[in-house]
Amino acid sequence: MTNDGFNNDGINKKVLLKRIGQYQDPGSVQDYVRLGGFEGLRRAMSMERPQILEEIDRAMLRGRGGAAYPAGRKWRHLYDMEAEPKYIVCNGDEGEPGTFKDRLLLEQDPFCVLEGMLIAAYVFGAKDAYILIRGEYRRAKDLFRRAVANAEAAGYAGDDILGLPGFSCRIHVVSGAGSYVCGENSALLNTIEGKTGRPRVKPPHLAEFGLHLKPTLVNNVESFACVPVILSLGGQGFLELGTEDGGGTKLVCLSGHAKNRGVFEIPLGTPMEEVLYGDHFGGGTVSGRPIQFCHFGGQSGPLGFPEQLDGLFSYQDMWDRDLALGTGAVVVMDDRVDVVEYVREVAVFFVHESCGKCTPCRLGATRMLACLDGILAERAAGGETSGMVTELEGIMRHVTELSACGLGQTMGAAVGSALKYRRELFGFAGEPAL
Amino acid sequence: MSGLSGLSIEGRQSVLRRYSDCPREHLLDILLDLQRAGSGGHIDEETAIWVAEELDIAVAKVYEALSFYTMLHTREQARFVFEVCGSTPCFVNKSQEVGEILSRQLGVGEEQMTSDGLFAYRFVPCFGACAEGPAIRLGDELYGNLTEKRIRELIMACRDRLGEADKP
Repeated sequence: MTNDGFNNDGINKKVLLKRIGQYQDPGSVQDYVRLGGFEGLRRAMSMERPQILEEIDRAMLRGRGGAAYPAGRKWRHLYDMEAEPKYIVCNGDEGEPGTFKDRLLLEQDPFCVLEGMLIAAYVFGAKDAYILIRGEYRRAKDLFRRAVANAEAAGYAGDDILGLPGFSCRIHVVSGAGSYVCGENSALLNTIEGKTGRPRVKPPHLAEFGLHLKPTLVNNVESFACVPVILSLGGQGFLELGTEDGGGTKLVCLSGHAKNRGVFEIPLGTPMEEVLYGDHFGGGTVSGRPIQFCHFGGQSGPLGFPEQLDGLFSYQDMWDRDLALGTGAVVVMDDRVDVVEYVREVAVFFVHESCGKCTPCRLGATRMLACLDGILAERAAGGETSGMVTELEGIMRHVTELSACGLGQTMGAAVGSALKYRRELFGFAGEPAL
Repeated sequence: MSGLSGLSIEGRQSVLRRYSDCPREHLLDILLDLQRAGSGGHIDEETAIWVAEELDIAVAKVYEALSFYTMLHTREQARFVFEVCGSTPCFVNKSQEVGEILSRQLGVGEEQMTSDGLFAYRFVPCFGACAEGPAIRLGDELYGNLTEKRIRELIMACRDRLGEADKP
């Protein structure tokens, strides 16, 4: 047994993790209610549906799965669709390496996710809501099933929820079985439909043609967990926890060489330096050596070097510095890690996880890895690498521009940032190609 | 054990019953549960055909899932498979050394089974134990902050577990 990596210290504005560790049994609906649960759902049920949408809009909740798309816009899009039925889907296929926040929520406070899904079901009149939980999280899956059964027995899910006639929603818990690309929302829907989890061609948007080609809302676990908080605090209250471009707090997963590894709840807009070095957060590196770089937001995210790390931990500020918040993963590396070897490992991951459906991604992943291997070998021999680096950049461009889904489109992010900010580490690599 | 992954008809039916409301949506649940309940840690051909018939889907569709998802296996697995996280948060915490230690301790290479069929190891993508990397997944359990000593203890614990199971 291991612990969950949850770090409870130094958090001044906990709204998402406030119940963690307070449960006698995280599958007990009575415990959840005792800890203030379902207040958001009750509040929602006392409101007109457009009012709820306004609160979500005002909260400026950005999708916590990595894409950062404003949830309010997504919800409104679905609300405006006339086709029926509408489906609610929670993406619990947390597979971005370095990300383990959804696991924490699912294993230790599943009801907050369920409550978010139920609020969505209320807004859209959805009779069926699904959550797909990655196969590796068996404990989370078993617990969530038990939580759903308990919620149904207590009248918080199933038929006539909280006694409101016609407000009925069944929650289905579906398993993944080991596939990174299934975390892509359309691949996730294919999986639920019993198809192999490969992404669909988009458009159409999932709000128009989603699960079983019906209008569908797909949000991440943490995004759904934010919804009851928004209803409780009000959209404005939630927004004020963060910044204008992204409200609320964010669950941040510190790993790698960070001195304090684990899940931290951090108000958006906290200085990056505090996140990385603050005693209550990352605490610098475990070795006490300098941070050489961080990898943000998962394997599909960019690397960040010290000269980029003087801003805020917020969506816009990170974009302005060529970074991305993504899932909230922050893998910290001290100065003993070889950047090129590191991005080679990122390439290995994508070779393994490319679904193979579209050629630019399938072949591009393999060729990127081959190029990086060639560069590493040539660099070790003290040879000239500029030709191989140019080839690598050419492949990256093809993969990024021509791949059908986000997996291929973001595969080059880490390598690209390493080339942009630490080109000299790739050997005698010449000037950047324009 | 040959055929049907060592599961009785009743054993298989009880897995299906868990998902009787919409079994096709739960193809992966069914395959994972059958694999877990069976004896060889895999889905053999007869089981794959049986699932296809029960769900009224093409056998190739079952095999598409079996080959696409890394948690599903078509070949018999060792009794204890150490799945070492190979993703970067563990890589920078020396997960490669964990592989080398396992190889040395077990006397086999990656994806090879020990001659007694008890042990194997492989690298897998991140399973969310990054706060304790380097980490191993063994069945449903996670083990982190691994050292050579801890890995040796883990292997011994597996052998002990086996000894317990064999006692009358």
